[in-house]
Amino acid sequence: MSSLDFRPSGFLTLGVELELQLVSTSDFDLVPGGSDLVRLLGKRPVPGTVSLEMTEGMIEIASGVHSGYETLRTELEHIAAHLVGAADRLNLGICGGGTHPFQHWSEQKVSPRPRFHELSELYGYLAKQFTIFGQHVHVGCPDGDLALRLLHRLNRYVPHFIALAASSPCVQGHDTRFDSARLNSVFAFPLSGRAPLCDSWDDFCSGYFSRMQATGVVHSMKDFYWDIRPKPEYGTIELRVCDTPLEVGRAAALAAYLQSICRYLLMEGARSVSEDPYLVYSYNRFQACRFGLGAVVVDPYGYGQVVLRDDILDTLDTVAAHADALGAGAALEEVRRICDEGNDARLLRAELETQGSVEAMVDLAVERFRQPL
Amino acid sequence: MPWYKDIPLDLVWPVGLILAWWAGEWLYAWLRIPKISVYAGVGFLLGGGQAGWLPAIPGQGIELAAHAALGLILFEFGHRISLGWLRRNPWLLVIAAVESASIFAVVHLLCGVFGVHGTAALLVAAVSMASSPAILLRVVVAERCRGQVTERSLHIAAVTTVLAIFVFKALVGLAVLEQSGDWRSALWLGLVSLALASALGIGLALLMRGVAYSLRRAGADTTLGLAIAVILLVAVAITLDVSPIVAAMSFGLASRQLRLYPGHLQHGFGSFGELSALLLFVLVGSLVGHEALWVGAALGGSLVAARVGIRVVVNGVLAPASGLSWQRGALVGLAMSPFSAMVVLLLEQTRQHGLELLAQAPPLAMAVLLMEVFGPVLTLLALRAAREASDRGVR
Repeated sequence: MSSLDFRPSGFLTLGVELELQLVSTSDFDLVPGGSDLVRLLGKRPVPGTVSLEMTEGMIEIASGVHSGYETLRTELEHIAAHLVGAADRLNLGICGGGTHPFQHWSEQKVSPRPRFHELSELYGYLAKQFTIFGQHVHVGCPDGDLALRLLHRLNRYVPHFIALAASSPCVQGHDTRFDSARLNSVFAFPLSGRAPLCDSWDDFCSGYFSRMQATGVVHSMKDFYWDIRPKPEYGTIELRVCDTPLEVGRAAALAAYLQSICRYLLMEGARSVSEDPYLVYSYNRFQACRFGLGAVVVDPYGYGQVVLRDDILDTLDTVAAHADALGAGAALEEVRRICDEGNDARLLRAELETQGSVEAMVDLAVERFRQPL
Repeated sequence: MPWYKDIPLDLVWPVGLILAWWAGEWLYAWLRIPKISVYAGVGFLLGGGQAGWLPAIPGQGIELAAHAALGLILFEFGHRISLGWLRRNPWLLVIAAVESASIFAVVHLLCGVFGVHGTAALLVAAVSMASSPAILLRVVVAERCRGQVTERSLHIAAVTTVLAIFVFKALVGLAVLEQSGDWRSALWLGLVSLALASALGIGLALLMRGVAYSLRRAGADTTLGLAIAVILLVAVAITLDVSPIVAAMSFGLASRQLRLYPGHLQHGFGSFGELSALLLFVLVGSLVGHEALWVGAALGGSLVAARVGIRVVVNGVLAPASGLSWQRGALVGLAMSPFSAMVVLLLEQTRQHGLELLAQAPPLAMAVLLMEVFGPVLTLLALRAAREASDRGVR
């Protein structure tokens, strides 16, 4: 089986990966503890998986494959509790949030894995600047053609996920005035952005991918940092635009919201794949990063302007029946609550305002991960 | 008599400091020798017992400045100590206790072998238990070390230092009681002064929390305020004749509990911290005379070897139970090798109470100097081997 063979997976099954911050409990700066934590967890079986990420101040957790919200949420909570227990033995704080508010890239250490060192060689300081923390959601597809069609139809909803998950207002000690500053670091990579338009897996493999491979620029799908990319070895598409939320329950809710939208798109046969909606893609994406739920985005089909929060609330109504069918009603309630109360970026900014220090933001994030509200 | 003996005291210190700074920068750039090692080495060479550029007995002003410098380092050290971690991972306390007890027993035994007996032997054994929070923290700050080996060495060093101070004070109290029969003075020198010093630190942390809270909306960086508070605390502690070391460390510990954060850009109190560390380590080096060095060479050398060996073995053996590999545990032990500059200041303090301990315990002079110079090198080697020192580059 070649790395591009699309391995079919359960239709609309879900999996979540979360990149988490490892911080010092003294000064709340990032601390290189990934290897020690993974080694310690290796001695005690963990539900899901825990692995090293690009730099030592990061760690990635991954859930198993789930058909619905409730079991996904339960597993993520279980993993989080397990992680916190192990981290306590090493005096590490663990938290979500898309960026660490004051870490400096030059202080980060690349994790001891050959691939990370290769990337560090290739990308220079960009590799260390990639010390950012995202949530990746996998949605199962039975074949590659369907995966590509779903991937392109989802482009209109990408700003929803950016705004709902936004939790990276500060970079290097300063408020960026973005709700999600994390994605600015992703843009720096040459193979980031959107996937090229194509709705046939065979055409994608024999056309775009093989041409890119021939240039020597890419070796595998891992080399693409697209907002949504196919993951043939898992048989999924992977949404990569979300910041890691402060609580794993919110991560599960966002995954279930995506699952409901996917079901709606596939069951109700929305528009066919075309280049047209990409006209405003970058603009809408910027709006969502910068202004979060208050962004004013352009409808890619009608060209009217709409406040993103209202667009999400409309979508919640549209997909409600699909969510019910998937058992994700509670997840949509959580999404509605984010629209009402604000995203994590808003919460972190409020803490900065009240306490007057960026350390307090991390302190809050650690508490939220340990004891969700 | 050398020509420079007539140079005013106000001039010799700045010249000595600039020489030490220059040598520190030069040797660090060429050989990566930790600057504080060089400072102590230059201090020794310029000291009263050697070249005689720096006076054998420092002036009161210099002594106060050195205490303030140590106070700043110990405040930051205390701020980094998580009592919660010691509670959640009690193996750290076990390691510190086993290590301290082993060092006390072995050093006391070695003293007997080399003909040092009685109170002097007990005190040498007691101070040998302590690692050096000051050296450890300065290396950690200067090299921007972060990670598990760094954190553990700081925490275990904190516990061993507290144990050492506690035992040392108790022994000094007993010595005073034996010499003078004055139990009030003995109790004061022993444990009451420790309690009062801790209370001073905690009280100041509460006060500073209020000050920081009132400034939060102004977005003020509290680092300078905290530095001034440490200097004030040290001055008050010296005036009240209680330990400035304990006061500064409790101030740091209490500040952490009260979520009082120094600015994240000011690790080690920035250039001000650098300057005060320079003064401190030059002074400590200058206090050791070469005559004392050779008298205690054999015992001092054995003492240093025993301390390092015990720390490496105990940490290596017990590390897996505490959640770390034995290899990294051994590096924790090696990182804690430095002997405390605090020892010299502690012994200097006892001089005021008629106990000439530094003169009575020449092996300590040897051990202190050896570890002032080579201790930071060992710490840095351990933290580099653990991949916890800064990369200082993109890779």
